[in-house]
Amino acid sequence: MVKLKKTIFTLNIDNYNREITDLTYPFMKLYADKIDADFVEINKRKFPEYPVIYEKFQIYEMTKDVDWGLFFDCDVLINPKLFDITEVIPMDTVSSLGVNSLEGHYDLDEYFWRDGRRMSVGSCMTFASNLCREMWKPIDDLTLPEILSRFHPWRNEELIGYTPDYLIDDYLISRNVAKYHLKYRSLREFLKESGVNDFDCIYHQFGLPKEEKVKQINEQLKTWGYKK
Amino acid sequence: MKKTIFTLNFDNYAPEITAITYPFIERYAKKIGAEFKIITKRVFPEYPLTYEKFQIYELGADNDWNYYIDSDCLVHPDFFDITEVLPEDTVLSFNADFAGGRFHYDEYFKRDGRNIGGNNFFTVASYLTREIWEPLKDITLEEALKNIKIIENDKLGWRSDGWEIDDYVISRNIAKYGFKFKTFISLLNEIGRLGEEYIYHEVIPREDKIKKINERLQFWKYL
Repeated sequence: MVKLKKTIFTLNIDNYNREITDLTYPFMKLYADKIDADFVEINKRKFPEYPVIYEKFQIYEMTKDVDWGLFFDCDVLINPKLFDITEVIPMDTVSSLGVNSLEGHYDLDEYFWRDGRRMSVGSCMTFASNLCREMWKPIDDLTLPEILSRFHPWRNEELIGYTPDYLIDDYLISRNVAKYHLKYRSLREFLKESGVNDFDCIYHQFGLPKEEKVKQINEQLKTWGYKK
Repeated sequence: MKKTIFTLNFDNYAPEITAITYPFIERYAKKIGAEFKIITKRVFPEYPLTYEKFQIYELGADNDWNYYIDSDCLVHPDFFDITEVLPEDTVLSFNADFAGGRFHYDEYFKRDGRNIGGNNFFTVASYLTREIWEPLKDITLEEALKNIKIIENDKLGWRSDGWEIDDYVISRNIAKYGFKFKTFISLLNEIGRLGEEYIYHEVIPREDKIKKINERLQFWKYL
């Protein structure tokens, strides 16, 4: 059997929130070991004129020679009991934890119109094989101001301080999924089919202050039996 | 709605054929409110002639709908306006072959999985899907030609080298962008008109073509 080459990516520019990554990285690395993947932290900027989170789109080039790319935000906690998700996600399908509606969130263009699925793909964790790495393809037809003008944070996002530049990754990943009409299924669906609840395997909260996030991650580790 | 019907004609190709076919295409264009534009200048001189169809990507950028019809297609004046029944998110070609029999697959064909080998002597797409005519950006001409399998029919002496590049690139673009796709035949079936002959086109030597076109016109009672 051919051994697949897999890489788990995360993004950490300027050593973001060390207290959090001290908790999450060991578990990402355990998971990487379990599924025989490399663990790569993207920590150098290649698109300095863009918001930091746009650096996720480095993955397009970095997955040229791998079979699977798995991206997790660096504050995602993975339970090492999670099975190898590349065994259940078809190679012609991209995945993320879940999707939102894009109504009122994005100004749509011809790619969203022709795609018709009206999906806003959450990008805190995204998965694609080398058949579908265009999900992470950097933008080549819009300027940064044009992108930012097309994105409208929801009220709950505004309340936690999110601005359009903070959510550019969601918009562009969703636009790429629409542009290339990439087949999509959420990780939650795959886990459910396998009889697994995502809360038992993955923990991720956005919009929390750092201290609260550290507290919640520690509580999650207790729930999973990794801390007393 | 701004519509253009494009065709290709370099060096005054087969005037004895276009003298018959163009008046019918022009009549159809007028009927559906489209402009008729003959592409006569080469923009991709290093590529096979049929690749010039990919000029439509730029030439049709401001249109709501673009049609491509080969110069040797005979269009029946009763032909309806496809743009009234084809959804804007869907591309159409006359028919489709099994792509795996004609092309070596890359990641686009593999992930798409529909195995569409579009025949593109007659192709229609809206402003949402004009990438069907997007010129190659990521592989060279040589690489593209290597991906085309020579099938038995292609070995006929009167066909020029690389003549299938248009079918290949159109099919690859359909796969790359996952375009919703219909054939003209399936569309006719959907609207209850299967068996109606609105377009006549055969891939045969030029000498036989003029004879066959005239026979078709007799059958259609225009001669």
